[in-house]
Amino acid sequence: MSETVLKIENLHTSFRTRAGEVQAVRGVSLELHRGEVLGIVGESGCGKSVTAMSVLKVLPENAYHTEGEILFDGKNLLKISAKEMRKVRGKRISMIFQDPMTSLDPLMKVGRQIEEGIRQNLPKLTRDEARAKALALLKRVRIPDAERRYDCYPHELSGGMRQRVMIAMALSCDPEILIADEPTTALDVTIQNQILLLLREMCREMDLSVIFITHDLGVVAELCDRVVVLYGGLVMEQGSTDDIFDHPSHPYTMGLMSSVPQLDQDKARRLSPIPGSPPSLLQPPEGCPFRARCRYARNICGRLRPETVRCSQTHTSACWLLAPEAPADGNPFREGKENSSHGAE
Amino acid sequence: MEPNKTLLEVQDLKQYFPVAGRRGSAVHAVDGVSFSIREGETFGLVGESGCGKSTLARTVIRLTKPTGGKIIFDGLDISGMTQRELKEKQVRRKLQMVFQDPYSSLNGRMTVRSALLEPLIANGIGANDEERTELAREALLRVGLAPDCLGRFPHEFSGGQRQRICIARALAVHPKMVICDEAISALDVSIQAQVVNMLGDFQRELGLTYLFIAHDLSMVRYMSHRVGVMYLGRLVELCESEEIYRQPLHPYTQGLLRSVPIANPKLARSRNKEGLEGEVPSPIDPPAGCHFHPRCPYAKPVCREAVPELTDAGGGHMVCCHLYSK
Repeated sequence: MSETVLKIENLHTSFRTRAGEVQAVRGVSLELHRGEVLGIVGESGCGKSVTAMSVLKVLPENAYHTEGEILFDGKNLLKISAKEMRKVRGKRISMIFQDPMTSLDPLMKVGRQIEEGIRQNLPKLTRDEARAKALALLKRVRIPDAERRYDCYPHELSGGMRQRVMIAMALSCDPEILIADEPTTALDVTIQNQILLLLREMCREMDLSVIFITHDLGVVAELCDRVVVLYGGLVMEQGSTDDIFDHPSHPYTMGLMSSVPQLDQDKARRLSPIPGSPPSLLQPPEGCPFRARCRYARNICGRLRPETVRCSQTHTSACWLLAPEAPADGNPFREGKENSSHGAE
Repeated sequence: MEPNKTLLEVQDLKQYFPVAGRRGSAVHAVDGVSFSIREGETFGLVGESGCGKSTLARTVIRLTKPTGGKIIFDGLDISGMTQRELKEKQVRRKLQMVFQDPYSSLNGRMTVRSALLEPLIANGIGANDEERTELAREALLRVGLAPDCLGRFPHEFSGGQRQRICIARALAVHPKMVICDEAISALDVSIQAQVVNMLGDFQRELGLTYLFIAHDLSMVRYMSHRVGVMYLGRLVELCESEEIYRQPLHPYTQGLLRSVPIANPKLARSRNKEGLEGEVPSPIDPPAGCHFHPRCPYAKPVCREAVPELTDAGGGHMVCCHLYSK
């Protein structure tokens, strides 16, 4: 297995609100390996963005961490000073967001904005050198007619172009890690496809490790090497993309997959949605957060949080159905197939 | 309901908007679109943002007055009707719409009860408020919400529940046709499937006709009987929904389908991912000839000059491309 570049251990992030403590992330652990694209999937409010923002410490003021650590280059990012963090943020770990319009300064030409980032992190460069570097970046992210676009304001560019500018900016200091928070959700499919191709290429060329946050299983299958499925602030399942799609081992993952029609879906067959809606994180349920919507739920699911079970070398899942003492009757993970069999793949 | 009866017919519909400060120029949002929808059918409309699909929907429901062309709904030409006529002829009641954003399409200061009662009052349904409240209660039950929701406000509901309220509101007046403009796009996938199943059930039970507008091609294929593909204000392809995925003819449709991510990693790795280059041009000054020619890998000289016609390429598969004209 390749080297781990970022490790999140038992992260807890909460928000102080008027209504009380919102426990957005309640014990997430994950590892990012060098050169891989790690997908974090889940529905709105599952804690995927908060996990990413915790890494870069860009959370709003009312957020705080009750437990956990984020290890990067031997240091716990949650403990280091703001000054030290500035050396990491944007330089070694950078981030792109869903809506490029809110991340770009509307009153500044896009070329200058990229230049600003470069000069911030490489103060020794002259103005001209920074400009040349920014222009090269614009060309690298395939912005046609880059010289002219350099002097454009963000509103003069299309959504796809703006996202390319964001990517150029994020890559300007050769970071080791890129966190992409739903970067293609606001884009049309043809533009999304272009951006995904670009990200994949950048990843290969620059030896970049990527955390890609999305709710779209299609995008995960296209782009990611490994996947973490989040729900209710907890990791439900984690594994290689093939593990997750070939042998989903958590009822939530299975539910997500049967909720979306495939392009070759039999139309006579109804979709099987997950009933109900996600739990409130103001008073998160005890035990498994998915219990209320799970058709396999048993008594124990409401009392105790499921332990993480290893399904194969690369695949783990947190579900009581996988426990050795779980009943075999009506158990989707026991019927017909032995769980150990796909470890050999 | 009579099967095969045409409920909505759109003929050469045009909707232009003037551009402020540029006299003589206009946004050609919808530029000569023709299609028809049969009773009990779901007609899917796909296309990228800015292709005119939402404008088409808003024109069909007569929120705007079309620049040209005809809209024939339930045997009546509604394209030139005044707002008053639309109401008197029951067009407003029979043709309902559900919008994309369930947060902005419900008034935050109105209870669910008043939101549901408003269309009933406007259309003169029910003798008194008691009777109407009863109808509202039924409508809520139908979309799977408890009747005690009536006294609550929109902010107390999740996005999926709000969209259910919007659907209940549209269905409360017993429409013949519902236009769903990206009605599920803002919802989480597990909630999308709930709403889609519900819409399918209503179609079977009530014989509803849908114009289903979305950019999610797999959802449109799943929902629709026939699909139309729009590009820069024009319809470029129209056929049975199975056919369009099995054998897309227009180069734009082909590129669009190749761009859709597939939730199957093995298939995703093996297939050709060459989507489309470039972006949609401005509808103020669209390219001459076929609007798609600057991005089309098969463009010929004729594509730059002549506008292709929507023609039958066999078996009712309509396509608007010079590659298929005889």
